[in-house]
Amino acid sequence: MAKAFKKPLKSPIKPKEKKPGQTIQGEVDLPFLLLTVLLVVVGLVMLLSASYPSAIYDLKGNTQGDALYYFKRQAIFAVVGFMGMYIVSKLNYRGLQGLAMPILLVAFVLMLAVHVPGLGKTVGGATRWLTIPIQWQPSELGKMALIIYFASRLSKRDQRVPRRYNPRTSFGRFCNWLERIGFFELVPYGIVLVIMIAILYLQPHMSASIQMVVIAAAILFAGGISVGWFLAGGITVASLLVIIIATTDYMTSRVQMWQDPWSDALGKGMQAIQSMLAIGSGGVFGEGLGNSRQKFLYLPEAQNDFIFAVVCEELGLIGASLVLVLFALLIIRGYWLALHARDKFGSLVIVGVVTLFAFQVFANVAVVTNLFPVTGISLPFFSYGGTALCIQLAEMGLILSISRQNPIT
Amino acid sequence: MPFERNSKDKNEQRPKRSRRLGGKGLQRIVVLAGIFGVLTFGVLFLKLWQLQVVQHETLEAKAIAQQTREVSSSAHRGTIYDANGAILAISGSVQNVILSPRDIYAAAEVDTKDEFGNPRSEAVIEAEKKAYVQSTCNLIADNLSAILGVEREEILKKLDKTESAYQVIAKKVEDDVADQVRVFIDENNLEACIYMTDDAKRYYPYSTTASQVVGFVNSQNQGAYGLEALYENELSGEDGRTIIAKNAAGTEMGSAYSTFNDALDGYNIHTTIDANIQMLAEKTVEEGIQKFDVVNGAFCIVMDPKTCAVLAMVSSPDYDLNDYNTINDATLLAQLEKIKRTGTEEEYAKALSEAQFKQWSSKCLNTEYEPGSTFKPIVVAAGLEEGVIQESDTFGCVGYVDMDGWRIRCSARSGHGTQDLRKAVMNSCNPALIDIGQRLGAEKFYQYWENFGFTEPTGIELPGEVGSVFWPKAEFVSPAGIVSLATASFGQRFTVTPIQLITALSACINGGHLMEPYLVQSVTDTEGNVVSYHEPTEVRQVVSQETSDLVRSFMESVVSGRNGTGKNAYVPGYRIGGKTGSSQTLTRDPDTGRERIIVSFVGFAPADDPEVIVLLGYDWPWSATPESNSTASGVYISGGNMACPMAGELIANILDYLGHQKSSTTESSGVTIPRLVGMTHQEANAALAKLGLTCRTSGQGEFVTDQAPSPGSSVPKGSSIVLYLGTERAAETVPMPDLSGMTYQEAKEKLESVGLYLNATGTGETGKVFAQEVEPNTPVEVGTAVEVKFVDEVADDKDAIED
Repeated sequence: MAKAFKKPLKSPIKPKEKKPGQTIQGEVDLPFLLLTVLLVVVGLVMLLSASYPSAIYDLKGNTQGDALYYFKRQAIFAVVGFMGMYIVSKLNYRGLQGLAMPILLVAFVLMLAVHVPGLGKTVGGATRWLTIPIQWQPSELGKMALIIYFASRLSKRDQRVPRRYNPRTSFGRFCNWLERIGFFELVPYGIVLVIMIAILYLQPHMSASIQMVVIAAAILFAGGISVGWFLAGGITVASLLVIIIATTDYMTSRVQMWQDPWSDALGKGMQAIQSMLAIGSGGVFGEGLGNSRQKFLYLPEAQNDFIFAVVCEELGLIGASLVLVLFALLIIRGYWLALHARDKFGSLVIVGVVTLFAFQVFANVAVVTNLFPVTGISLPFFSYGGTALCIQLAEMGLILSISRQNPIT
Repeated sequence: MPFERNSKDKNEQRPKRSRRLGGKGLQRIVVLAGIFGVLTFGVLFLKLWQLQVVQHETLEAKAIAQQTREVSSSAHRGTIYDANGAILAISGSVQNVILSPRDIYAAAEVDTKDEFGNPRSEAVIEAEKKAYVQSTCNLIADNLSAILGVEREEILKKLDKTESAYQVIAKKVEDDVADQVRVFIDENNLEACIYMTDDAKRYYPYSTTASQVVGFVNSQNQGAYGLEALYENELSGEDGRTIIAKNAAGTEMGSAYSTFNDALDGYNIHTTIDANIQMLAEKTVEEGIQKFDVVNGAFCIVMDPKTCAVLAMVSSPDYDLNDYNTINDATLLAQLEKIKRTGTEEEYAKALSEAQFKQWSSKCLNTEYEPGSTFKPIVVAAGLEEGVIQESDTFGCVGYVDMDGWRIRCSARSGHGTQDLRKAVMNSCNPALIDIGQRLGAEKFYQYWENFGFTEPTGIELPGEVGSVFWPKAEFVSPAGIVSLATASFGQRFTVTPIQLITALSACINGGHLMEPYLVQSVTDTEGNVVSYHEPTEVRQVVSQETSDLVRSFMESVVSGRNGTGKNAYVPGYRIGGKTGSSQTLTRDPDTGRERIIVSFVGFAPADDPEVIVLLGYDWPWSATPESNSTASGVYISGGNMACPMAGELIANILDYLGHQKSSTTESSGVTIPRLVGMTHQEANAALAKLGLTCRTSGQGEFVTDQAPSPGSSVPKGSSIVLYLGTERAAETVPMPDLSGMTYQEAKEKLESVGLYLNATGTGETGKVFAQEVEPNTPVEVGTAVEVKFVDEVADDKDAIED
């Protein structure tokens, strides 16, 4: 694989070739950068507003009543994250193509390392965190590793020589048929994805698994895999979901609670109800920045998963829609950059990162508005969580890095 | 897969494109951008629209309901005073005791780890919690049932509602009991489980006095009857409201979200009712009901005739304002008992609520009745005013008048003969009044009916006032109304309310001014500033001063004249005027066929310048037998015999209370005994002989050492006084004999036979015993002069109408 870098490139547009680790001199995509900065700043302001009641009341016993506790931490991480984003944007992303397999292996190891006593941390029955050097989720790295591996492998798809089997045996004919419909081509992706989900199942980490499936599907889709596979996969996943929901009590009650949260308003439906009360209270114009009442301990995790409910309550339909428009613009600009990337690898990496980002935004807002049942997906740039913010900004940095080598802009 | 081959071919042909994504891949990225950049956000926007625009109001209301806590500080309800500042109704603060079963469970603290620090099983923790809750519940139930007197089972039942944080177990608990509850809470650290909220309780210091006037408040402290209901807005004030935004932990969110409204205390009501006069009137009503076997209640209104300020308003049956649901009236209780024994539960409940309604409503204005002869002064006043009769006119009476197939009788069956107007009024002569009515004519009669205010309620400040029931004007003034006019002329076959009648009669005697009767003199705020003040309001002048003077003098003759139908109201020393009435109601007792008669009397004093006017009526004195004209105790049933003497005494008592001196012209039939102690036997003998008294002696001595009766006692002429010479009067007592129904002579002899003396009042020698000062069988010291009231038998206008 590393061969690709050593060979001189034939591209007439960018004849000069950089080694991995070298910095790139081209311009980053300014609209994408500005949208990112804007969203992080708005996210910080909303985090300050949403987090200070729970910081004052010190629900988790960590804030000592400091109203700015969450804000200060998030702001520091934002600064660190911007610096990281800058550094990543300067690096030549194409170095990653050759490192796809090592990164994947490292990610697998780290995701399993959470089970090692002393390294991992368990919160609420889930072992998802490593405490070295600071507390973070290796599954975040896992997502990136998956994106890079899939993008890397798919970008070399046209170099792949189709396998041929003896057409005189029925097994050979069957294998040829499998090759023809692209089954063998998909096997490596399938294996990586299954390993990834198996590791996540051990943690367990349902929402990360879903994200893995979504980004894998998006990259494969953009990579040109036949639509039939997605139809088949979609139908399989959907029917599996129906079976799981129908057969496991836990999932059944969760879906019921999603459909009618008022049936247990003080118990399982509480989060969804409090969130809807906050959103509904906002109305069209909102109660004004800082004026949310639901954040006063009614809304669970107001600074975290449900921060968008505070946005809706304080800024109203207009403000919430503006925030969503900013997200949409960032995402569309991301896909636009994917369309204009200098190579397949860059395009597919952007598709993976942007789709992951878009899915997180959608899933979070859908949960907050009770469109989806409650799952623990935070809102990028808004929800409290320093390492997550840093990783997201690094991902943005990766996209910016790809945009530097964009042949048109 | 043809695509793969093609792309491969293309790559080979155009290697410069090989590193970039193919056209299909680009299309697919556009599809992804469409899905994740547009479609998903469209869905989210629609969902936000639904929540923030469509459901905005319902969700916001729910949010506000959980975020705010409304703390109301209750306004102090105003006080109701009588004319002298005595308190008729006042509010005090009390406590409601409330349980929060939810917090008992929440307060159950159980170690989640055992002594070695290992987590204990859920089941053990749960069991321990249960045991704690059980013992706490028992502790609460035992102690609170002892302190509050609530059933233990009831408390336990409420404690069972473990989801609830608000279970009221005792309402309106007084301070001393609330203190005991507080001590119990403190000693057992149950602050979270038991708490108390402020409430107000209405106290009525005079309990039954003026109950229908004052009225009462319901359990929500809202006026339900009487002045409490009519002046609800003034009395209640405005509750203060504090809306506090709270966080989910229940503590305040910050002052920025709070709004405050101070409580405005209610105004005080100052009534014209004089509690002392009210109590005198109530005593009169109560005594009369006992004496005359009255079965359907009674009413009495006392007014200042010049202003029509109500000084007392009594309606029986009455009730204790502090316990307004309980029936106290003996007659009502007997009826209820009967239904309880024989009827179903529903019937009993219905009868109970009917009985409650009966005691809560005032006969003075919530029901109407046939005024009978008490209406006659109004007809006379109208006749004089219109000039159709003169004081000097004479009227003939043969005992009846035949009219349109009806025979209308006079109370004197043999007729009054020829009489002048004054005599006709004194006799309460029906034929004379019919004559006056015919001379007036139906048109004029109806006009005065209107002018005296009978066509509409008086507007007195009490709820539920009804009006009169009279013939429709068109029918009354038509030729067919001739009998109606005749019966109306002596006050039968139509109904008015007592308050309407006394207001109209006040106009007859106060110079002709129809005044608006009123009960509320002023309304003041908490600082004592007058918010509103009731000036006497004249509705219209109905008759002239001269007419009024004349009618008043006729009415005085009714009482003071030798043969006046109201002579039993005469009290020596006071100038009382009045008019009796006995109303036939056409109602009969369904079981025995006894006719319902309402006996009444309207009286006023002093006759030259009236200061009080009293209308007293007893509804249905129970006759001894269905055919009898007398009660079981032998009192002839008529206004002149029943209401008249009671009202006379009441008027005298009121004048006494108002500080009127009795005029010195005492015409007592008795003799006042002088002080004889210290005189010689001869001197005492001479002194007594001069007064027309005789004497007996006891002991052997020169000087009088004691005497019986005591000096100052009044005894009839010819009585024998005992003089003690050298000995003391023995402290010997005899049981008081029962004198009821006796003549003067019989009573005097009966008393002297046991060593007592008669001190006669009332009509004296011509009458029969009406009341005795000392109850029968009470021990009386020998030689005491016992006061006995005599009344003449008076038949007014009973059985006036026959076919």
